[in-house]
Amino acid sequence: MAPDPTSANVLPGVVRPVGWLTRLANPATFLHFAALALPWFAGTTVLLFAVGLALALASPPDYQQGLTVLIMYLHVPAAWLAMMVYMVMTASALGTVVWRHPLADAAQKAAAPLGAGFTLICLATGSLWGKPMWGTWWVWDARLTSVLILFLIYLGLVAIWQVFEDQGRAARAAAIFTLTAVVIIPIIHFSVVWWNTLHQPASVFRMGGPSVAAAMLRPLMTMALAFTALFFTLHLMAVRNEILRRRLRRLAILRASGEER
Amino acid sequence: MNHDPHTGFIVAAYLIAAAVVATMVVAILIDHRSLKRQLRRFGDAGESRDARRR
Repeated sequence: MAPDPTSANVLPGVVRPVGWLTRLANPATFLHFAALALPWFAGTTVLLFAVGLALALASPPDYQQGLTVLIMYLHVPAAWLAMMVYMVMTASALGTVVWRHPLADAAQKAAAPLGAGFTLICLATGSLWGKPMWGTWWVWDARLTSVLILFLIYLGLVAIWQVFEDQGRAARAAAIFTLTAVVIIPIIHFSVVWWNTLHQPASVFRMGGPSVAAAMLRPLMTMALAFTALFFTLHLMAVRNEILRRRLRRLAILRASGEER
Repeated sequence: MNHDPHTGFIVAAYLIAAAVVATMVVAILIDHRSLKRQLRRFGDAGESRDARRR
């Protein structure tokens, strides 16, 4: 009989991470954890967005951007999340390649559309900020182009999961693609340093501290926390869906094999 | 804010972000409901079974 894809004890001889991570990585334990944690995660997300938006609306207009600075409270956190989600996927891809854990596959698959969503928000809000501030919707500079490539990578990963019927093969293909394409993250981060771009350099995480005024930094960081909480909430929900989908597939196979007999 | 010449851009940015977030949330919720419904057809209690097992 084929190994249970939802069991933590598949593929004998494969080295597993130890401790709490192993216990949480058991699909049944994860479903239990998700049921307990989701209301708290969702509540925290709503609260952080409410505080973040209130702080954003109360913040002063920028001396150069005016009220257009309000777009930054969406654009910057979305840009951070676009890269953070990819790092979560990279860690999951390592889980697939090194430990061949099915929950790592589920985490990878669940994160790709979310990463695409945050990157789309980053690109759309950046464009809507660029038109009044730069006088153009788009320029093919290093930062904008590399973020567009990240968006295409996310779409490619979503497509990989759709193309392969065998989810094990899809997981390995997606993991290898994710690990190969991770090079885009340092390229995005350092694009404003390595090349002469229209996009401004880092103004929060930089040597010498943030160059953003405290009145704007507070809503910005609160919105960044809200976006992060949103991602973890949605990721938890999406991983739960993947576990249920695998259970459904297993039940369908069992029923089909029972009917054949 | 009504007098800012770029109000349209700001409102559009917030509407697009809200639409993308709402799409992600609704897609995941619809997927979850569909999976639960299909699992019930197989007589599987889904998550509640795991919760009881613990």
